[in-house]
Amino acid sequence: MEVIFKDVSFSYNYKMENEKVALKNINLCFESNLIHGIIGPIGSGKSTMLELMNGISLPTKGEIIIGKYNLNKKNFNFNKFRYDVGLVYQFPEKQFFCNTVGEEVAFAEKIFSPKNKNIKSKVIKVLKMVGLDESYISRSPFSLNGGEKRRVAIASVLISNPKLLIMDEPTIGLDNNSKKRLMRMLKKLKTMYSKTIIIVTHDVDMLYEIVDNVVVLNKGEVVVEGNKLNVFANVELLEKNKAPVPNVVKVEKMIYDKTGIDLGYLPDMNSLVRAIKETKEELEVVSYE
Amino acid sequence: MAILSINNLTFRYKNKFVFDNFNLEVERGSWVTIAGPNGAGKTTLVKILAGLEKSYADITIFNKPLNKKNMYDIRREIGFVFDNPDNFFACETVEDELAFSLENLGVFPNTIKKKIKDVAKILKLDDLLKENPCDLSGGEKQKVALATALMLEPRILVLDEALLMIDVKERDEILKTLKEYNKQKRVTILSFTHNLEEAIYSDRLIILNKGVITIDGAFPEVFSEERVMRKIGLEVPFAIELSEKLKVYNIIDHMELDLERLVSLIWK
Repeated sequence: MEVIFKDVSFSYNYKMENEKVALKNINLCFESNLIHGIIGPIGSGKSTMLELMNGISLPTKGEIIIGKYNLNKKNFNFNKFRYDVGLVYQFPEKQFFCNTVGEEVAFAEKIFSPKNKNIKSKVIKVLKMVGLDESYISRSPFSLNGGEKRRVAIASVLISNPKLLIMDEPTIGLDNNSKKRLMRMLKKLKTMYSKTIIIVTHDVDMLYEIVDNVVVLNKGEVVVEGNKLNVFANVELLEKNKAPVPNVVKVEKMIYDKTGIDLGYLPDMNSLVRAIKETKEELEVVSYE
Repeated sequence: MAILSINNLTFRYKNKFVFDNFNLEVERGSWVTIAGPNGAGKTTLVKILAGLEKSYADITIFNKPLNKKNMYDIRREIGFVFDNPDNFFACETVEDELAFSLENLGVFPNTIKKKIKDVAKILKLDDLLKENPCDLSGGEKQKVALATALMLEPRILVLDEALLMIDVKERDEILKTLKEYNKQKRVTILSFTHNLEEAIYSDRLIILNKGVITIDGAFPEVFSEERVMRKIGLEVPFAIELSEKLKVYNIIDHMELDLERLVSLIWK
């Protein structure tokens, strides 16, 4: 499901004395079936952008088109739209209100498809998608640990089978094991279930490993956007705009500045270690010869 | 001298023990980071110290037992900063939010104004003073929550995942500022986190797992136990993990916490 921003601006308290511009003239296209990341310093407009994508706020100028939906249309049917677009907030688990995981996950389906008699099997299916087995259905969501709670929250969004999944800081507060599991799950949702995923985060190391495209925001404007390799290659621009730089890229840049050696594209720490080892060995051979 | 001591803490949720005979002593003026994976007992411990959870323990803070009688006096001198500041905002502007606690204590308005100026400068909040705290971004809200705690000049500052929503660059600046604050004012800092990168200015790092202290040591030597940390699900700082992998190939001979020093070590 494609997301298009056409010259979109948004202000909080629009036309009021305390108007605060959050986004300015945004033109963007988030392509289908990819994982997109949005990064930028605090207050740069990242979370506002997500709220606009879900119709929680409407743009003060411009147009947002998500798949077949034009959010600016009069009498827009948000019910249908929300079935296709799932939003996972920061700390989604803080919004739990049901006694059991099963009820919590089934809630949206009961609202959207009250006549559906196969809700239980759907609950089991989405729990499986997030790596939780059937035994969780009868457990209280409040008794789970942080990583499990996050996965239940994501399952309760996935139950309506959204084509677009929007996530605000999905790894925040998770320990390393829970984070790695979540990253694997997101990759699986993209490749096996053809979801389009848009993630806002400052966890740029996580983003570097899983995203296809990146948008960098600063002061409500797009600084740079595109394929992650091109975006993260421009370390100076990112630093100038106070955007985070992945640690792997940071080390590569330091090595380049110190030695003039370009290690090329390295997707993770293991490939960085291998590249350092091989380069050092080559240099030793050259100096020996 | 210990400013805080916990002896024989036992606590359980229904039938599940979170702590069973847990003990901890924290020295005055030190910065202690307690790290652990989800479910380790970090937030429960913060809640017990804040008096939000009742426990069976002998807890002494500022040489006074933590009980109903002393609770107000003890809480008055501890600044708590939690992970979700939304739950705590009560005023319409950041400035009023910062002034709130001191106004309630009857402090003179001029003194409050001066203090707001000082704290806003330390945490770079000058431009946000007239904003509504509810309109701010997650990271800005956490900075306001931290500033509110500093306004009271606490003797102990308890941070429960308090820098979670702040981006890496700004988080490092805040950590440096807190270190100066810790040194100059001899404020004891007790920081609870799952992110070991936040422990870089601590004097002591405690790893908590399932309510038990697994590792307790001085910083950064404690990272020699990085395998144990990783095994229980903690994310070891990037530089430590990279050092460890490079050591395997004899490219470097010791661990480095600072990336620039690490790169210099690789190409010395």
